[in-house]
Amino acid sequence: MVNLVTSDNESFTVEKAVASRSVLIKNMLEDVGESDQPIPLPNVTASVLKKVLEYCDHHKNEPMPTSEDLAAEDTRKRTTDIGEWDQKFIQVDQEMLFEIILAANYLDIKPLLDVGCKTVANMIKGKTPEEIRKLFNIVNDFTPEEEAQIKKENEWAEDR
Amino acid sequence: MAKGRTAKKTVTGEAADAPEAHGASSRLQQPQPAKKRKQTERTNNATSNAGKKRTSGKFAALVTSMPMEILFDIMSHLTPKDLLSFARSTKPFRNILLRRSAIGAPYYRGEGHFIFDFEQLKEKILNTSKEEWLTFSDERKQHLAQIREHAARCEAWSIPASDKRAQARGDLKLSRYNAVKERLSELGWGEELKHCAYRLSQHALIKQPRALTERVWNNIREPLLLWIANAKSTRIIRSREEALMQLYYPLLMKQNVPSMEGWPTAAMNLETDDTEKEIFDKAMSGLAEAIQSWRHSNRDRLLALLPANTESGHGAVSPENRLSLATSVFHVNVTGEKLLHYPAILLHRYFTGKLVRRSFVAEPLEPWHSVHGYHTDYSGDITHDELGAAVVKCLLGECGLDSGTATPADLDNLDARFCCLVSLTRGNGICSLGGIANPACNFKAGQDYRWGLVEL
Repeated sequence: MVNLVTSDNESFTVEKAVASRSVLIKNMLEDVGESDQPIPLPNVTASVLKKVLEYCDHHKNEPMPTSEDLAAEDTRKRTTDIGEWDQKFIQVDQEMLFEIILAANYLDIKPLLDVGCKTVANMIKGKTPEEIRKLFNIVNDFTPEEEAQIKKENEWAEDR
Repeated sequence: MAKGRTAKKTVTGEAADAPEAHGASSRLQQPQPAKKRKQTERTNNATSNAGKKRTSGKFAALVTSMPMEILFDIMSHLTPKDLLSFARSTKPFRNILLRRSAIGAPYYRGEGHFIFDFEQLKEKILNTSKEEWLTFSDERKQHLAQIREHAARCEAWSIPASDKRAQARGDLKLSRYNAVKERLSELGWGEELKHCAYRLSQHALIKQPRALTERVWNNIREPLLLWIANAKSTRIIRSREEALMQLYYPLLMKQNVPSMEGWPTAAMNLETDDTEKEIFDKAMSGLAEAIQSWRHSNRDRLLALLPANTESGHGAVSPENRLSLATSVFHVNVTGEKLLHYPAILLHRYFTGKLVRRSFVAEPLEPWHSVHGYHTDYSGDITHDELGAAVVKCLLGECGLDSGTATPADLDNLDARFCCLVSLTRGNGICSLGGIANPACNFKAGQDYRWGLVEL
């Protein structure tokens, strides 16, 4: 078992196989060896870690992606398909989604980072600029003149 | 483009958390402006003030830390048309994606799309008729099909080739790492290597696909020796801290252990091979003194709470004795707490509470920082109880004791019972000192309290 302590001082005890989905934790464990010493995760809060561990638990029996896999992935086709369970798992509010992405990046859980990024990409897909602004609550920072100019510039790309 | 399908997917995604997401939309959607700011800073300093104003959202800090590579990762999943929409949503995104120098910036790996040049395509479409465009479009589609076919063949060739290269690089790194390990072991660091093998393999000087020659070793030898010595001292301090924590923790969890003044910390000059018992003995040797200083400091703090001059005729009473008087009653501002006398009050959790916290990696390795008493500023929470003192004084008078010298022990020894003469009807009945001194009796300021001694 592995003891993880979050930034807000909550501790989680999980199976080694679950915690080792995180390459960061896996490496730490390899360094420290068998020890009861808790692993501090100062960049992750309890609510986010709980969610991340849920993911790790579900995927604990899958083979770990090797570095060759990851290198090859860059040259291979990438799709925005997300597995059924992952899709349900990632249906969270935007704040949590971004937190999960950050945590996955920090903990080095490549498949989870991928699910997060794909989800954000899927949210953007097929949307007009105005819809994207609305989605992320971005204020339109183009002046009316600039907007007219851009619209004119981009007319050619519409409806093709 | 599967516009309809993907759009729908997004909608269902949103609908799932719609109940809360819509209620708190302004909160949840804060991150994005901050994300934008990051890009603003990196790409264009001349963004309007309006853009900057919106970055002070609650989660601004969270998303400002979103690394650029994550943004590119997200963008790599988008189609050209989506990228175009994305670029048109705000200026910073536009600057990232549509500047001349940025063309192809998020290098494009989507489903069979290719890096494209908006400007060139625009020229073409503006200068051709509808028919010509359709012909051109067909040609391009055919061309694209050819490219795809060719690309598939290239890919079939390149993947094994790149796998092979990766394999070779990995082998080289591994052999370099093993060679360095061997050299360090020869220099007597074999034992320490067991504790830092992984970190060593990630070291910038090791993680290189180049074999270790004699010349290379001479160059990296010194920095590596420095590094491993450093790793060793850090590890020793950490394990000492762990040992100390294991000793301190059960002690600190007991209510009546005083402050940690004088306890050894991991940074102290303990011998490397001190056993736990020796560490413990060192800690214990300073304990008596520590308790004394803790008691004195708290005594002085309580003394300061007493009214400046209680009895004109007893100026000669020493501070210690003054605290021990029956009339020196303290009140702890917590509901249901009894009135307290010195020194019993020192056992209150305000004085004995302990907080034990483990330190994080980046923090100084001293239990002093990890384990400490609350050191609560209780000046507002503990007060001299004037009403209580008045009541006690009244009782002392009834019993014929001198309020200037009587101690709580004197009162206890009498084992007297009292009866409230003012409010017999309130059901207080007859009670002992402890009963009277209980706030449940509801003393109120300005009310005249008189108590009679009950003859038993």
